[in-house]
Amino acid sequence: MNSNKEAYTDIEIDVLRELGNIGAGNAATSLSTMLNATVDMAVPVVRITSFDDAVESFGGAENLAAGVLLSFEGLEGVEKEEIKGMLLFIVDIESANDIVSMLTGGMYEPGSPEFEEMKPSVLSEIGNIMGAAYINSIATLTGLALNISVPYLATDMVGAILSIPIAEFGALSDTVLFIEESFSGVGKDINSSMSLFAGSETIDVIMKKLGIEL
Amino acid sequence: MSGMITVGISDFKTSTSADAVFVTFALGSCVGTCLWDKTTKIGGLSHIMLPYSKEFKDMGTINRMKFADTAILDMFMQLRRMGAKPENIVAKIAGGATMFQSSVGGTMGNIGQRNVAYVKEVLKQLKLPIVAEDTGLDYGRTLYFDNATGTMKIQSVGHDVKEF
Repeated sequence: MNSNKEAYTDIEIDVLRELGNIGAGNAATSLSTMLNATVDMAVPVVRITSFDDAVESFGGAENLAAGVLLSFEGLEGVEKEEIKGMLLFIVDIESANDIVSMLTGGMYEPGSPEFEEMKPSVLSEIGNIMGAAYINSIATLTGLALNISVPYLATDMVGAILSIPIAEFGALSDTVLFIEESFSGVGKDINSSMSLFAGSETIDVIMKKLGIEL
Repeated sequence: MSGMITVGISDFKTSTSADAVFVTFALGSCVGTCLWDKTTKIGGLSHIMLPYSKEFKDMGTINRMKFADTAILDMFMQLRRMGAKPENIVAKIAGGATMFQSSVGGTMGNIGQRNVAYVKEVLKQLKLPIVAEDTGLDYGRTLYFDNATGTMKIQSVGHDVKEF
């Protein structure tokens, strides 16, 4: 069950921010390596917001973007039922083209049939590698055995993209919690972000594993 | 635009005004349901996120506008209180897409399909006919619903505007 509580202590928020910092830091490093370019990272933001505000924080409902979504869960053991989360890599449409161009060495012109055919699998793979880097660092920090799904891609309005994590983690409350990390400064002005969504049981287990007494 | 009524996620709005145009942005797996009494021009638009509230009943207060079962019933009752006649009310629905695809085949979950199926079930129980539908597939939809004409307009990325 993915419930959600609305009140977290300052310590919990700090821990979540640090978790995002480490996870997204590893994801940024993997993006930087893939693109052979510098990737700048902001301070992660822990958001506990209404559904509509969550959509606003990604540029508004009709903002066009590519999103790569991966789900993760606990492997066998006591945590299997309690650990469930999603990682969402979001990149705006123009930046998505730039990233694919950089990664494929400008082999095809954006908009060409070859480019468009290649784009979904290239974007999925970028999200996959970044997501794996993020999750592996959380697994290492917490000692949890985590299983990560294959990457799923949607290129559409941000509101429609976010409907999936919001439906998954917003059943019990009218807020959704996510740790958002923005990346910038990749060659041209590429704006993207990686967000971790999880329910409160998952966060409780992570806190316990990190030795935070609640 | 005057009379534009925005319906958020897990929300519904109703109106007796013929000037009213309802809008809900970027439905993905969520479903928009328009209910409209063609004789009195009393209408409403709901944006649900999940199929049924039952499994969450024992877990504290729920937002009834989030779930198909409670949201559509509540909106129907509100329209009746505003003067709509049940036998004149028709339904138009849109959304319930499967947003995420894997490049090696397969999709992430089936919440969109479940939402559509349950919205239809609730409308059937309330004996409200579905006169237009634009559901499923793999893209997001912005829904405009004109209370004067009962027209549902759907805007999507990479698809023509459709009117129902």
